[in-house]
Amino acid sequence: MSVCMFKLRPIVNHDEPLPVPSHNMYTMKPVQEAARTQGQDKAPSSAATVRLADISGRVQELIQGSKGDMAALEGRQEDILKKLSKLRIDIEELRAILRQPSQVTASSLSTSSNVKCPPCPELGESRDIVVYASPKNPPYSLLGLARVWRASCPIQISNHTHSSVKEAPSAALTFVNEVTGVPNLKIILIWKEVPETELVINPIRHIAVRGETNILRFLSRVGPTDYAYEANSNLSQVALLDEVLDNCQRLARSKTVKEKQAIVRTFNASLGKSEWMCGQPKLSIIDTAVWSVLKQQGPSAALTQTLTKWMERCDSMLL
Amino acid sequence: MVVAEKNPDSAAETVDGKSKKQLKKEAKDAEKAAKKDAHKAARGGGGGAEEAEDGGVDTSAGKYGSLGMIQSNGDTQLAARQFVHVRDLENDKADQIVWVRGRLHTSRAKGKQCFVVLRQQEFTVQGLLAVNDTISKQFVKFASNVTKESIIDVEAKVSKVPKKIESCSQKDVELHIQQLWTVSSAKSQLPLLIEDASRPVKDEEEGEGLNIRVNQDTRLDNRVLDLRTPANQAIFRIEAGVCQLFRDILTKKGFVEIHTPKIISAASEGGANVFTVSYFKSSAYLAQSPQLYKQMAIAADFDKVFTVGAVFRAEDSNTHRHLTEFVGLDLEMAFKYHYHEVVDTIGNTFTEIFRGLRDNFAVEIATVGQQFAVEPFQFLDPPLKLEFPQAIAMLREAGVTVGDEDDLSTPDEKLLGRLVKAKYNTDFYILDKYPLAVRPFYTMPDPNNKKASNSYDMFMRGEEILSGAQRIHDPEFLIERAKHHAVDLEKIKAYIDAFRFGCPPHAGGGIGMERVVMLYLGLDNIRKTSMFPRDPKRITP
Repeated sequence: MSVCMFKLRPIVNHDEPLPVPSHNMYTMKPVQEAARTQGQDKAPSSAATVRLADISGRVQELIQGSKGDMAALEGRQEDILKKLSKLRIDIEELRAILRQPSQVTASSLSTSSNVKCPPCPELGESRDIVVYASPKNPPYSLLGLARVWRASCPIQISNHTHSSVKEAPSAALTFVNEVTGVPNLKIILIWKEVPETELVINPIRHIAVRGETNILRFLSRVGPTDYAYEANSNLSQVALLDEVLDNCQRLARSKTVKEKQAIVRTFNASLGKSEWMCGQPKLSIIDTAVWSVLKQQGPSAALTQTLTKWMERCDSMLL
Repeated sequence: MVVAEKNPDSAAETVDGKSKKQLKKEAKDAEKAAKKDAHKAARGGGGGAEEAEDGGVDTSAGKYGSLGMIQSNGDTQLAARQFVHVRDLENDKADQIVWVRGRLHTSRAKGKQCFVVLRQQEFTVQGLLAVNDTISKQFVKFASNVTKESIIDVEAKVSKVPKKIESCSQKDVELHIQQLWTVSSAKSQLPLLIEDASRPVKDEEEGEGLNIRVNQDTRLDNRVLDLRTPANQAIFRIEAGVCQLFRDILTKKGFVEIHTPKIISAASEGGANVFTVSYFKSSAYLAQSPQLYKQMAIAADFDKVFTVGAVFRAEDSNTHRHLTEFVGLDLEMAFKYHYHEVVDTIGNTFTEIFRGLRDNFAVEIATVGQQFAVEPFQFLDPPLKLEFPQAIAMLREAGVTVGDEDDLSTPDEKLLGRLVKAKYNTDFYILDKYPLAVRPFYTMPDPNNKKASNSYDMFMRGEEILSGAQRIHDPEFLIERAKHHAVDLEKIKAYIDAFRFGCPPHAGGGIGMERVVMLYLGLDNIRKTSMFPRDPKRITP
C-alpha cells in the first residue's frame, strides 16, 4: 500500500512483553511477538523494555478496581486444583485395585506370587457367563482351565442341552465342575447347534465373543494373573503367542486335510524342543488352546511324536 | 377286500359280458338308485325334475345322490366299502380306486368340469369331475350343487399330478371321482368359511389379495365350524398330548393320580375369588385349586400325587390369559430334606413334556405354525434355574426400577423373559427364592434369609405358568404365619388340622393346561387353546 490517506497512531503497542503475575500456571509466548520474531530478527528492542514499567502501571491500575474479584478467582482456582489432585489420587488407587499398572515392568510380573483374579465389573455380581458350544466341537479348554485354576480361580461349570440338539452329547457328562464354596466364575455351558463356540455375558451391553480362542483370550484377562499372557512387557513375545492362538482358530475353521496338516506343523514348530508351547516355563493358555483344538480334531490330526508327548503332558494336567 | 380290486375299470361296466363282481356292483348300484329315488320322492322330487329338464339318458345314474340318513340298516354292500384316509393318499396309491369320506371343502364348477377339494380333518385333497362317457352332465351338476361342509362319500381313482397342488395338503395326487354320495349335507349359508378361518395371520401391510379374517367372537359363537380348521385340529391334539405326557411322565416317576372334589365348603386359597353355588339349603363354592386336597393326600402318605381337573376362578378379568374355568394340572410331592428335590422333579417334568411335544407332535406344531407364524419353543435340559435377586439384578441392569421385595409386574415378567431368552436362549426357566412378603401365608420361609421364601415360579415365554412353594407342614408354625398375614383362623381350621397327625415336608405346584399350550405354541389368546372357553362374558356354547 503505497498510497496512504490517513495515518493512525497505533492504539496498543503490542511489541512489548506484558508483565505476567508471578503465580501464573501456564506460560505462553505472546502471539504477536512469536509471529514477529519469525519474520524479523530475534533481537529484543531495548526501547520496548523501557516502556514496560509504563504499561504494568496501567495494568495495576486496572486491577486495583477489581482486587476482590481477583482474590475470589484465585481461591476458586485453588479449590479446583485441590479437587483435581484428589481425583488423581483416587485414580491411582483405582488403578492399583484394577491392577492395571501404568507401566508393565518385567519386575512386576516376576513377582507374581499373588495369583488372584483381577476384578471384572462387566461380569456383574453373579459372575456368570454363558457359553454356547456345538456338541461336535466340545470346548475342552474350558474344562482344562477349570482344572488348572482350581485353587486360584474356582470355576463352576454347569451343563444344559438346548432344544435344538436332539440328544445330549456324550461329552456333556464330563463337562461338569463342581466347586466347594463360592465359585469365582460360573460358566453355564449350553450345547447348541452353533457354528462357533460363543460366549455371552450380558446381551444388553455386549455382543457375543465368538470362537474358542477368543473366549480364552477373554478368560486370560479376567482369570488369575499368572495366566494373563498379554501382561508381558515383551510385545513381540505376546504377538508370537497370539499367532499360535490364531492358528488354533484357523485349524478349527479349516476344512481340507492339507490345510490342517500345515497348521499342525506350525504347532510342532512352536513347541520346538521345549516342554510347553513357545518355550513357556509352564502350562499356559496357549497350551490349553492348542490342546483343545487338537482334541477336537481327534485322530484325524497326524501328530508328531513330540506333539503326542506334549498332548499326554497336557492330558495329565488338564483332564 | 380292497375296493380297487373290485373295480379294475369302471368303464368296463357299460360293456356287455359283465363279470360276477360287476354284476354284484350293478345290483348294489340299482339298490342305491332305488334308495335315492325314494329319498327324492320324500323331498318332493327335486332331483327328478332336474333329470327331466336335462332330458336324455343319465349315463351315470346310480353313481351319485344322497345316501339318506344312515340308520345302520346293515347294508352289507355298503359295509364292504373300504375307506382310505385322505392323509394316506400318496404316490403309492396312484391308479388305485379308493373310497374316501370327507367334507366338501370347496367346489368350483366350470362348464363340464367340477373341481372339488375334499377335506378329512386337517388333510385336503383335490378331486376332479369331468363330463365324459361314464360321467353325465347331471352328475357334474349334482356335484356342483352339494353345499360346502357337507359330508360326502367318494369313489375315485387316485392319479398323480404333473404339477404339485399347492393349495392342498396332499400335493402329489388328485382324485378322479367316479361316484359321489352325500352323507350329511350342511346348510347352504355358513356363518364362517373354513377357508377364511384358516387363512394365515399376516401383518396388515401385506394386504395382497383376499385377506378376510374371522373375528374371534364369530369363531367362538360357531366353535363347531371353527374347530374344523387345520390349526385348531392340531392345537387340540397338542393339548391332548400335553395332558397325556403330564400323566405318563408323572406316573413313570411314581406319582399317583387323585381326584379332588370340585364343590367345597370354604375358599381354599386366599386371593382369587370363588364362585358360590346353591347347595340344598345353604351355599357352597366351586374349587379354585385342589391344593388343600393334594396336601391332605400327602398327609395321608400317598407320597407323590397329581390331579387333572377343572379349576374355577371368579376373577372378572377379560385378558388374553384368564379363563373362569380351566383345566388344572396339579402335583404335590413329599421330599426328604430340600424342596429343590421337588423343583427339579417339576422342572424335569416340563422338559420332558416339551421334548415329547417336539418329537411326537412336529407335524401338528408345523400346522399351527402355518396359520400363526411363531418362533419355535426353545428350552434347556436341565432347565435354567435363576434366583430372584439375580432376576432383579438383570432387570435393574436393563433400567427397570424394582424393589428387592416387590413382586414382579406383568411387564417386568415379560421383559425378564426377553432378557433370559437373549442370554440363555430358553423360553422356559425357573425363578427360585421369591420374597416372603409376596407369597401366601402357607409358604415356608427361607431359613438362611429372613426376607426370602422357599417358593418358586416357572415361566414360559415370559409368562408365569406355575407358582409353587414348600408348604408349611407344622400346624403351630402355620398358625403363627397365618396370624402374621391376618388370616381368619376359623376359616382355615380344616387346613391346619390336616397337619396335626404328622405330615412329611412337601412342596408342589399347579399349572393351567390351556396356558401351557398357548405359550408353548406362542399363541396370543388363551381362548384359542380352550375348546369351549369360559370367561366373564361367555358361557356359551
